[in-house]
Amino acid sequence: MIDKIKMIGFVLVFGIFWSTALVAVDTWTSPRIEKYLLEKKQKKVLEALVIPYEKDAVEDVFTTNVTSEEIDGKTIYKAEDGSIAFEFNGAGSQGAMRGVMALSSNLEEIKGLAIIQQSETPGLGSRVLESAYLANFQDKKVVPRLEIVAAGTASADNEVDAITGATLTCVALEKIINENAKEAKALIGQ
Amino acid sequence: MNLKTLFGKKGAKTIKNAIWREHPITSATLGVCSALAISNKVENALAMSAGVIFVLLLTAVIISTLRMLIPSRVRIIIYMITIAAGVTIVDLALLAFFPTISEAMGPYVPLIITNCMIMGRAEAFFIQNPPKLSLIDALANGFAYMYTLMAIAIVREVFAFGTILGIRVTPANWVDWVVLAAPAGAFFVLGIFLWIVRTWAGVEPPTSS
Repeated sequence: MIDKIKMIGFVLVFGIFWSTALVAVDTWTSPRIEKYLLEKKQKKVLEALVIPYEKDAVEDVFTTNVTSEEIDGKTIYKAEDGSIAFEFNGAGSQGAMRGVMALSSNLEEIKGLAIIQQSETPGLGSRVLESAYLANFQDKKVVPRLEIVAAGTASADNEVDAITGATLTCVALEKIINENAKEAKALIGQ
Repeated sequence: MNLKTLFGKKGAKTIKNAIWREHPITSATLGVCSALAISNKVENALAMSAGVIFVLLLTAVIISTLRMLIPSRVRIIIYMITIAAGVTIVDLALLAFFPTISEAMGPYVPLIITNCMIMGRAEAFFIQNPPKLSLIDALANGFAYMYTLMAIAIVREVFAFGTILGIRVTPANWVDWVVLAAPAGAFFVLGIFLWIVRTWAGVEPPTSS
C-alpha cells in the first residue's frame, strides 16, 4: 500500500514539476511565436496581392495597404485597388496545401498566389508551388474556369502551362483554384 | 588525446562503445526513423542532431539523478514525461527563435519523443549509472547519432541537390538525383552505410528466432 502511494506521489510531483516548467517556457515563447505566425501570414497576403515589401517592414506595409474584414467567418483582405485576397485550404497530391489567393476586384482574374504550407514531392510537384511558376497565373481568368493545360499549349486567357513531371500537383492546384474562386464569388457576391 | 585520462576507464569504454561497437543506429538500429526522415539536407541533419542531443542530455541528468527514487514500475512513464517535456521545450524554442529551421523540420521535432534511441539509452544506461557517466554516455551517443546523420545527409544533399549546406559543389551541368531527396533514397544510403560500418566494426546481425 505504502509503495503504491509513494509511486503515485512520485509521478504526481514529477508531473507537476514538468507541467510548471512547460507553462513557463510557453509563456516565454508564445509572444514571439504569435508574432512570427502573424507576420508570415501578412507576408503571404502581400505576396498574393503583388504588393512589394521590405523584409523587416512587413507589418507597416501590411497595415498601410491592406484592410481585412470578416464575412461568414472567413477573413477577406482588401487592397487599395479593390482586389481581394483570402486564405485557402485544399488537398495536394501528397497532403494538405495551404496558401493565400488573390483575385481582381471583379473576382474574375487571379491577381496572385502564395503558398504557406505544402507537402508535394520535392523536386517534382514542389516546383509548381515556387513563386517563379505561380507568377504565370497572374491575370488569368477563373471564369468560367481556370485550366492548367499540357506544357507549351496554353493560349487562351484562362489557360496556364503545366510543368511536366508534376501532373498530380497541377491537377490538385487547378481544382483548389477553381473551387476557391467559386466560393469567394458566392461569399462576396451576396 | 587519451580518452582514459579525460573520462576515466569506465567513461572511455562508454564512449568507445557508443560511437563504434554499440553505435545506436548501426548496431542497435535505434533512432532509424528520424535518421531516414531528416537526412535529406545537412542543415536539417545538424538541427535534428542538436535537438536529439539536448533531449538526450536532459534525460540523462534527470533519470540518472533520480534513479534511486524512481519506482521501477512507473519508470517508463517517467522516461516518457521527461522526454516529451524536453522535446516540447525544443519545439517551442525552435519556433520562437529559429522559425525557418523549425519549418524545415516540420513534424519531426515532436517525433523526437518517439526516437527509440533516447528511450533505449534511458532504460539501458541512465537508470543504472550515476549522472557523470550517464552524461558521458548521452554525449557519446548523441555524437554517434550526429555523425551518422551528417554522413547520410552529405551523400544525399550532394547527389540530390548538388549542394552542401546550400553551397553548390557540383559542376553546372549536374543532374540532380531526385530519388535521393525522396524518402526511398534514405533507405538506400542508410542501408549501404549500415552494411559498410557493420562489416568494418564486425557487428553480427541479430538472429531472429
